[in-house]
Amino acid sequence: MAELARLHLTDPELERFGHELSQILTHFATLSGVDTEGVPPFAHASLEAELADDQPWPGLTREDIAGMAGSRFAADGGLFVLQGVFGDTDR
Amino acid sequence: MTRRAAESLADLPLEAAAMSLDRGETTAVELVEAVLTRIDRHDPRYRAFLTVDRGGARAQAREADERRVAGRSTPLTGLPVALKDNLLTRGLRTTCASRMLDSFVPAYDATVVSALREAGAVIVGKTNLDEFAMGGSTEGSAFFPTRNPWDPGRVPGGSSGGSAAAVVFGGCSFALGSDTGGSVRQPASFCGVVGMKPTYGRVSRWGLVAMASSLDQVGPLTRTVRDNAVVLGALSGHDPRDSTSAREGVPDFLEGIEDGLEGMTVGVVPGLLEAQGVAPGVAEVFAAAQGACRRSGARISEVELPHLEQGVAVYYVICPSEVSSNMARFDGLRYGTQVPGPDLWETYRRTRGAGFGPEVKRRILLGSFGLSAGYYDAYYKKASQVRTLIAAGFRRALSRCDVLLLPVTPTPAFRQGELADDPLRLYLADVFTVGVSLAGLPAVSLPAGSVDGLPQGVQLVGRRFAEATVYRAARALEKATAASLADRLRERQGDLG
Repeated sequence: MAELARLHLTDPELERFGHELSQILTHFATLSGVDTEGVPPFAHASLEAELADDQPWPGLTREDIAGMAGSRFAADGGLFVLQGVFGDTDR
Repeated sequence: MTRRAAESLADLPLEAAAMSLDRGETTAVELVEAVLTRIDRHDPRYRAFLTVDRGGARAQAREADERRVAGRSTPLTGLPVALKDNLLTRGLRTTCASRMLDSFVPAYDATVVSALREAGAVIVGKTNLDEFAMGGSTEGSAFFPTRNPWDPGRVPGGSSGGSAAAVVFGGCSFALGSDTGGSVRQPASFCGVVGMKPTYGRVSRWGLVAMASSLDQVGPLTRTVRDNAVVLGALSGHDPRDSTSAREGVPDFLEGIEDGLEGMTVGVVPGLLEAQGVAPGVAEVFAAAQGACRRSGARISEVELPHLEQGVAVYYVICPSEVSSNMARFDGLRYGTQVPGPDLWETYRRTRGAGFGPEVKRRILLGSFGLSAGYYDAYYKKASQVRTLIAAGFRRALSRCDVLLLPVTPTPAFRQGELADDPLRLYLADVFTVGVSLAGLPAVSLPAGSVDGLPQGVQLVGRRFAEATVYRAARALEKATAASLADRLRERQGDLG
């Protein structure tokens, strides 16, 4: 699960979380006893499929992004600097 | 004005402070100085604030005074506000109480923050919370815990603990928090202030760092019920930037607020407190509140909430699932903390391993599990179906009453460290608040009495978009119980010293 969530966990953390999550999940097994035959998954009534007006509004400037990204952003090219997604350590 | 009298401006309810400003009895500059003095005196002990913007606040106060002179003031102009640090503030550090964002300075304001600026409120600073709003005590902050001003050995509640504490000791005239499963209502109860979670969709979530997108709502924390209604009015309304914000019109929440409980029906669930193991003192406060409703002219109606008990399990499947999705954006690549590794995947792992605290990790793990192939049907989908049943249960109950009277928490504020190693017990304490969040309904927590000298609140829940009805009932109960913050402070003869 830690791998799926891209979370590095130390050994003590793995042990502690394993124990805590087992306890929590055991408690939640009570849900399986509830009869949900024919019951739809929840949706807020207020969520109508509305489209926004096609009006542009100001977004972030390159300066804004540079302010938040620091050296990760090459402002002159307007590109983020990343490590390669594909490579020798392909997962 | 004597120094003491000047500083006591910080304790005024928002409406009284606004009236004082309108009458020229004081200025926004004097008011903000009173609040900053309170912060200097009390915050080193209670630690409600993560960031205090003295220069910015003073400049905004001067502008507010000019605005008032020019006749362009609103009910919030010149009033100092503290903002939970998961609300983006342009140019002002926003950390979500996490190492992941400990140096992050946003380039834009949340919609609610823009609304407050436009109204002329004075932003004093950012308050402490459980990291990324996950928790019920503010002990989950990556930086330090906030202390309950009524007993510093106890928690102020969470996750909006800093905001609640700041309202108590006069670090602001009002505060904003956020409520996903009780994070405005529970600290309001523990700290003796009024906290409202509006109907889902009532207030824009744009610029509120997302935790659980189908549950999160911004809510005010105030000294009085009327103050709360004033603030909510300024925050509410459709926002084209938040597709989950409703197009529902916004009424004047003060209209009818003094009409009282005569003619109203208040629903209670028989046997609920006994079933949930509520502490005796809490049960007494609740019973007294119910009696106060009856004496004020309300009809008490017995209703059922059949699936309320499953609310915790449903919430703690759905919330972490949505959390795990929302936390995926924190990858160290575009903003926030980065811990670089030899390749991209290691960078993700190390950044997230170092940047997130234990509760955040716990919820990401739970959420990833609940959504993963092979488990989705048994966990997330099942929880979502039970959520429909819970919402239907509330709708049925509210067809037989105008508002529901429920407890907020099973106990008063617990001691620092008491529940730190027992996440499940902390989750179970949310039984009275999470169901309301799952159903998307408006609910207010207001102080109704004391347990062992600590404030204790009760909760009033309404139908969707019926905040005005909730405020009306709350205002009547506030008068009947005489347990408001001002009442409590008067008993203690002055401020918390």
